[in-house]
Amino acid sequence: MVRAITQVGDWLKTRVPLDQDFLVAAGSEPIPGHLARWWWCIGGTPAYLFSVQLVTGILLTFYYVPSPEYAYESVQAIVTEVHFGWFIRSIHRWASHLMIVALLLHMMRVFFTGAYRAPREINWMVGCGILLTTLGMGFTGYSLVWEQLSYWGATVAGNILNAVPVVGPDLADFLRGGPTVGQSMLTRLFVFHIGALPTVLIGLIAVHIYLVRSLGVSELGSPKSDDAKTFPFIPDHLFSEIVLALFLMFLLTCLALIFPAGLAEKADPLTTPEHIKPEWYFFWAFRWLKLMSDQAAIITQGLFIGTIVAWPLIDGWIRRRSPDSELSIRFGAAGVIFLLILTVWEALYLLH
Amino acid sequence: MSLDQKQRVIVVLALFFLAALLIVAWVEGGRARVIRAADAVVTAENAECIDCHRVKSPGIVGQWEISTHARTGIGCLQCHKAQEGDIDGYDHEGSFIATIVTPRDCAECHEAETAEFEASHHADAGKILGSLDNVLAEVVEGFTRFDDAGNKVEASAAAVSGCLQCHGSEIKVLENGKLDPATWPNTGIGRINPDGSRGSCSACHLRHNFSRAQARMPENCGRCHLGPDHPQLEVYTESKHGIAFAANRTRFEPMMEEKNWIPGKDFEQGPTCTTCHMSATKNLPLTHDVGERISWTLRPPVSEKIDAAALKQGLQVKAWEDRRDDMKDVCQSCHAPEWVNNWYVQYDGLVTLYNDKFGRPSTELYQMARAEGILTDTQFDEELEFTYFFLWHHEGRRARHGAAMMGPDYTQWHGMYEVAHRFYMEFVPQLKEAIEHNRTGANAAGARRLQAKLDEVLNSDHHKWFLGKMSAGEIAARKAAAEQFKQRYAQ
Amino acid sequence: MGEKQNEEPLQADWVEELTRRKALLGAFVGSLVAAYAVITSFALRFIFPTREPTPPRRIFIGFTREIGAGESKSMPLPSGDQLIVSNTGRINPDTGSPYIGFSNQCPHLGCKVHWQGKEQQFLCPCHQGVFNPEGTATEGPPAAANQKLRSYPIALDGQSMYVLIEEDV
Repeated sequence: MVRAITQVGDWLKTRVPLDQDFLVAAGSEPIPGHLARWWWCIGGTPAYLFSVQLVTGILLTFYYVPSPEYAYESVQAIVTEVHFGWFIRSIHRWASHLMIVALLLHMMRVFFTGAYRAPREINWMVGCGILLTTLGMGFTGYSLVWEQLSYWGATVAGNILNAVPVVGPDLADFLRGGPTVGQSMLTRLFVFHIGALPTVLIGLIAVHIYLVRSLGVSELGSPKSDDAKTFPFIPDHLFSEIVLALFLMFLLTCLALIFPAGLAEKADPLTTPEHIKPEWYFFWAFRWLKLMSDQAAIITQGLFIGTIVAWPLIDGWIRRRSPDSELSIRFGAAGVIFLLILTVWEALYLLH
Repeated sequence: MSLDQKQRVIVVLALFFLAALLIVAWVEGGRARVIRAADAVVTAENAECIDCHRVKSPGIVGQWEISTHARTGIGCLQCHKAQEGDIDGYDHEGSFIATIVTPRDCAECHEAETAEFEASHHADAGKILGSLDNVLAEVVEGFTRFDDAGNKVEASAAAVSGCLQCHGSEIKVLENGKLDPATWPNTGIGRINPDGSRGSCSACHLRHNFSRAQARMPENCGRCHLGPDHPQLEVYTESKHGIAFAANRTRFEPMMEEKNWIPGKDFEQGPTCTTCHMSATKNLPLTHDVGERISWTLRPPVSEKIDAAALKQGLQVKAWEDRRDDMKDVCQSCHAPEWVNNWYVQYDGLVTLYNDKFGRPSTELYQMARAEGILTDTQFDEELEFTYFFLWHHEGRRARHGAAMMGPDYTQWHGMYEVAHRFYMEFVPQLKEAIEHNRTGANAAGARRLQAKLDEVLNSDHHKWFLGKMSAGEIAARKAAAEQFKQRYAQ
Repeated sequence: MGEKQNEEPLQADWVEELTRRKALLGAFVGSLVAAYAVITSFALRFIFPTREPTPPRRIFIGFTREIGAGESKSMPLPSGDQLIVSNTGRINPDTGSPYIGFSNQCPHLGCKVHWQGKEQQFLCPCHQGVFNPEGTATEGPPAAANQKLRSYPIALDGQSMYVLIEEDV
């Protein structure tokens, strides 16, 4: 029996050469001790949730129909007729929320520990790309359900894009596949959601992880006593990731059981709902838009996002002038509070 | 956290995850899978009817389309096709049809239900045509004209739009094959149809969707079973049964279309009319004979057991005890036997009280007045006749129905209180006046006999209080009770 | 854990550490495998379409008196197929009724078959295909190809005749 396995093993090894030493080295790579803290696993969290989304998303695509006549009904069928449909769909929806939350938390962890600094500036930008792409996944995914808010949210998105200087109208037409919200737009959103954006996301995640591994995990500025140690990736960090993964699966299952994803009214192009609102992660932008003209909002939001993306460079410029400056922390805190205020403001407005 | 600890945490988390998944599996298993409603099947012969009527009377087609009939391919001609020789049949766009669909037509597929219905009192509802109520509608309230041959040429509108809409008209087909407007439209439950059958299934099962849920709603029976002379709907609404149904109605409504709506099994509270009077229970089959579980008849001036009249005629019918046992079986879906039996004692008590104190005495006095010529031969030309009618036909029935269906307010304030008031403050004085009026003259002897009877009644135990003849013991007992009451509730 | 320096391969160390406590390892692997196996089974159940037996749908054909012995009646079905209901005049011991129901479409080239009461058979006029009362082809091209007429069960309820058709979910 053992001889048979060894023979098969040898047969495989000649055809799929794997460098044993490399694997062992990679597996036992030392991880800085502070990564044993759970906060540092918040990067792996969205990655794991993304894999959950890939699996549940593919499953849902077996039944979803991307056409205005059938989209809503197909989701309804998934929820009411298909075995475990309600469960798979609820997981998919909750994981999307949790993924964005995890990304934001990870981003804040990275920011407030200064882990975006040289030589990791590019990686920070890649990370920003991941966040923006994920927000795009959220937007396109929600629009596919073709509920009232999907349709009218998509309408509003088109109108906002329209207000972008110079290229606005072309961008809006590109998003809609034409002048109106309808079949063309739904098809495009579908392509974005299951094809283009996941591919981009996988690429960005791969680059991001490669950069993290090749640049090494940044050391903390002021290490605590037991942070000085390092520990191996396998099995310790791997087990941490498994703990996290299981915790997430358990959490997602509970959320799916207690708060299953429901269905609101079907999209009605002839009836605009009283309150159009996007998903919670766009509340900040929505409120921002209500405070000024569309054009002004787009330009200022663009600058805001640009500042975030380029922050490592800005921070570098600041620290060249005053090396111990805490300005980044202050700006970061201000930015977070600013976004929180806008989000809560929008949320409260809708409550009454 | 050491590797060891992590391992243990992983095991615990995995088990939690597994437990949650098992709950998911349990929820999935318990889910009622949505069975998409099948579309209506329009067969070739009905296609033309549907196409035209979808434009001309879209409501009718819409009603049919959501019916079980439609899903099974049973359409217009299956019910409306007339046989050769049917006097109400006529040619319509190439088909020979009849407007009225009678129980005989329904019986083609629904044999058992129709047979049960035809045997029931509902099918006899048209009998009112020969009753006192009919005199009211046709003579007192309305006007009916007869020709020399004795045929009715002008019907009383009060009867046509009132009584007969519930009780059922006798359908008359005119010479040209059309239906006499004095007799149709009419879906009274005892309608006498051109083909000789009695009744109208659509009295309860509204056409054209013939929904079970709709037939089970209290409002359905309440179309006819309401009002001052038999307030079943009002009594039910007042009762705990009605309250229980009202509170849970929204939850029940989707389920009430199902074939089985068995008390205790498919629902746990809030019976409606059909539940007790018709529905299948875990022991009893469904019946369309609404008298199968009734023990008293509360209709006449003096209530008797429901089989009494038939037995007097020498007919073989289901004994009232058996009917009561069947009703008790329904009650026991939710109530314990002692509860049920005690309640029947209370119910029998009220009916007996009404019979003994007011029903029988007033009837005997009234009939004697009539027999002795104290009253004219014409019905309802004297106040005493109305008084007596009100007493047994209105408040007398209200009191009895209130007790029968657990509506205490109807038993008391809309019921026995008004019976007592009517009796003491109107019936007795008016009788005395009639006697006085006849004391001298042709009917003096009769008047004296009536006076004697009245004295006998008023001196009986039930009524002697009215003459101030309450016994000393009884007066003392009442006084003591009043004192106790004051003490208990004193400030 | 992690006392040794990271230059040396730690593999032997922690593997040995794990496999020493066999019960814990067993629980560890077992619980992980069980949990993920269960959710995988859900996913599999999800993608396999429901094939639960929905009760067949009854479509009313007519009353038994409409089809005398040897006669037949034709009617279209919601699926588009055409049903032919025949009265063979003999009670079939399996169904307890003399009524048989088949699609009138000949499996050979799609012509419409006729019921012949006297001969107790279905005849396809195009190429003289013949089918017996069980729907099996006995003569002609369909017989050579071992073909049958598609059968539909006929149910009786009192005097009413119904055809039972499978609902498409």
